[in-house]
Amino acid sequence: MRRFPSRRVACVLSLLAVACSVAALAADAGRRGPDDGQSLKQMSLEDLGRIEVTSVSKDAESVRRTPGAIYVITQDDIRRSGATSLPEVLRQAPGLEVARIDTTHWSVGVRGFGDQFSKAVLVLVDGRSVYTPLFAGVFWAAQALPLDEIDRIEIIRGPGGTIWGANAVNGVINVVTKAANDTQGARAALTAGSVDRGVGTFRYGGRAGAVDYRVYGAGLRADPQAHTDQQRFDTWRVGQAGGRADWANARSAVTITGDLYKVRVGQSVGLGVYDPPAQIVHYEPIETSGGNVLARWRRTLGAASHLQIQAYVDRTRLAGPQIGETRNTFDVDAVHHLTVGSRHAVTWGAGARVSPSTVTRVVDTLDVTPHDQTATIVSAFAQDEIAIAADRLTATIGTKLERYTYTGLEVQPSVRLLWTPTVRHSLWTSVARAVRTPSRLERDLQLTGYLGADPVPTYVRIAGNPEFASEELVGFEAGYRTNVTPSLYVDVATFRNTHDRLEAFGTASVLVESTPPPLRAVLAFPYDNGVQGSSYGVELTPTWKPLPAWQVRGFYSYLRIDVRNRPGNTDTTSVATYEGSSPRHQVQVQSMLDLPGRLELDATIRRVSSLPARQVDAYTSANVRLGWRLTNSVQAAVSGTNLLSASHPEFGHDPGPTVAIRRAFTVNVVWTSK
Amino acid sequence: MIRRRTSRLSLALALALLASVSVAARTVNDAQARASESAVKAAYLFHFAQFVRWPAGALAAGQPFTICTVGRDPFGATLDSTVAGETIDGHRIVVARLGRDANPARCQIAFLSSSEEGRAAAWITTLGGGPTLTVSDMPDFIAHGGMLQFVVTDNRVRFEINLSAADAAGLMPSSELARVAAAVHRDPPGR
Repeated sequence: MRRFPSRRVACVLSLLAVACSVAALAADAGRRGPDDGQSLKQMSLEDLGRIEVTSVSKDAESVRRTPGAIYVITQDDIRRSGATSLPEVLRQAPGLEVARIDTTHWSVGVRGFGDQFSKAVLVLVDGRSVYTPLFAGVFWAAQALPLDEIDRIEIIRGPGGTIWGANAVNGVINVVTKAANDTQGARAALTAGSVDRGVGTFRYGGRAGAVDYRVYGAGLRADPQAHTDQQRFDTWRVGQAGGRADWANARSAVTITGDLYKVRVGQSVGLGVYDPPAQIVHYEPIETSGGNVLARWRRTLGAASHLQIQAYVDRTRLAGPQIGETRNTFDVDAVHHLTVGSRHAVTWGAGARVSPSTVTRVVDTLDVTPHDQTATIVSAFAQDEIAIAADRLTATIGTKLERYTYTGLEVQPSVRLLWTPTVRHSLWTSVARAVRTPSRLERDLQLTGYLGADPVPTYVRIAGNPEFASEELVGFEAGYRTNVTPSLYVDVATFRNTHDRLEAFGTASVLVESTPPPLRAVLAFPYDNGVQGSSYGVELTPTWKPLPAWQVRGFYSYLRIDVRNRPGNTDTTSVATYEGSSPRHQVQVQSMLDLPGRLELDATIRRVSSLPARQVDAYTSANVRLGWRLTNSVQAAVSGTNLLSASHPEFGHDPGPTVAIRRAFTVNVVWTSK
Repeated sequence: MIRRRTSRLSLALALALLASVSVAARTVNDAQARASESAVKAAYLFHFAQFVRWPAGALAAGQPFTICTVGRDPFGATLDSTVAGETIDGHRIVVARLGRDANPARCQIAFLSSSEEGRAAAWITTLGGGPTLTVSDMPDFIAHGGMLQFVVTDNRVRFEINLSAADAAGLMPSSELARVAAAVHRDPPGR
């Protein structure tokens, strides 16, 4: 059911109307600015170095020259979004579907297929994968790196298997933290609010000889969202500490990062019980803790050649009231970049990952067997960027070869073309294949729920399938970027993906079991690669900067998923779930304005269409933030999110009534020593 | 009913905030000394022409002082308007935009665009020894033997200078450049 409440639409329109009148005035005021070369050249060299510049053209230039759909969220964008968690920050990127399930869970999809665990999206923090092979996806609540540590987030939509390997199917989210050089001095920040009760971070950065370093500590406590059944299970607590050190000379650069964390994630889990026969929803939180250390060495080998070697160790421990897992991941990766002749820029590399894990069984009705399992990946890739016609036409051809424990050899090739006829226009197109490898759950899970007592106790079981194969995607993409005017930049990307062997349920078998007692019937549904089909869409992303102090940007994303059962598959739910769990339309407009008196006024309005498979109606939501730089070392901000309603559901997932996301307010104060 | 009222209240608040913007917007431009990155870099290029001495005979009488952009031009009209009507020691300043196959040897200043990132070393070899001041914003430019490298820190554009490379080309940067530079490199880059 779709609703377009006229009152809300009117409100949205009036907001936009005000924004437009502001735009007209602002554009008028912005005609003569310091962009005028005449005024800048009168300045001294020293004064030129003090001018604040409004665009980082290096980033813009590299984005413009990327033959793929890429969007970069900068630290400034993160700060001005007023968001307090990584998934909330991601809402500003086009082509993503971010929906909050409850305080501690999000569905993050790229070009669709979002779910509590975003199986088809690879997420990296400084080159370290935070995608777990346990359930194939990202446990977002455990990714609580303080947002101020982040330099930028690169979001690549579309298949990225050639470079990033398996599971970079629908997209890649690459979080890059700041260099230690950029975080010198002390910084303390405190956020208090109605849902985010308290977020505190402290950081200190210094220099010891030629080494820049920083250490940080952070804590977060968030309250539950709106529950009609008063089961306020979704509290969230985070304690995290870490640091980074950087050293460089003319030829080499070394980076070492590390984090330690402990997170308490409120959740609700529905599970069967054998004796007495019942279905029980558990509301106890799951605890996850862990740590990681990463080292990266980059060396310039000569004229146009450099080598990067990276290694990390990552330990995660999940301790839930129903199941536990301990996992250690060891990863090493080398990439060599070189220029061959005047036309070829070659990148090639190899990597290996070993990830032993142990599952701890807690209840009879949830298990993953065998308890001990080691996931091993060995991979190699090569890519050649060929300048076909000077700097106007470039082709990039490459492939990844990867061997994974479960699936054997996977080949993930891609071909990309970039045409830049003039400095104002760039066009690109690509075709690529990517795979999503099976999770432990898809292979080895036994999850049992209770159906009823008539005539005998009857249970339903989701069963891992040792034959479950990789999901496959072949994606065709094309895009166009242009400066319509010097102040208006437009990025359009379109895609058509062909999906095969998507996860579904196979034909059920009926089992009769008596251990542990009582005697019961079990309807067991195995995972099956039972769905195929296609998806297509368009993302339109304009950025308008009418004057140096004001930027308006936004996006419109259209997405259509069209899948069906593969021959022989009889699953009646998965097709509807795939097709009805991602919004077909998303529109967002974001305004970022610098005001006199060192004020910043930022507003975002977003419209998301309905999710029929998740019982979520279309909704409109708005955020407003007012920031104030009191002194050079003290900044404050007041933010309001989801202002248009007291609460609204975004994604139905938990057992019980759908959780609604509340309107929330926060106050934030930041102190820096510099 | 209460729900509806609170949502209206917050909307009214949001509208009021946005409305206040229109009043403020007129004064914004005077309050903020901001400029586009490429305009600041263009102004720097003009200053470099003034703060570096070229060897005698590098430029014959009547010949223009040429600032070249090599590869994709990031400046557009900004660079032309910055140097329009300006002279260096009586030489008119002109801007030349060079493609990949052009010979930049006649340029007094060569700005290597970031589109040339993979070919930095090749360009520097081409220009090697000649009296051409090499400038770029690509990372590692100085490590590859370039002379001036723009660096953007905290949204401000500054530059690093490689005095040995300038010296090897017979160019004499004034002490003012070294004083203002974000970093001064004296040793030749390791080979």
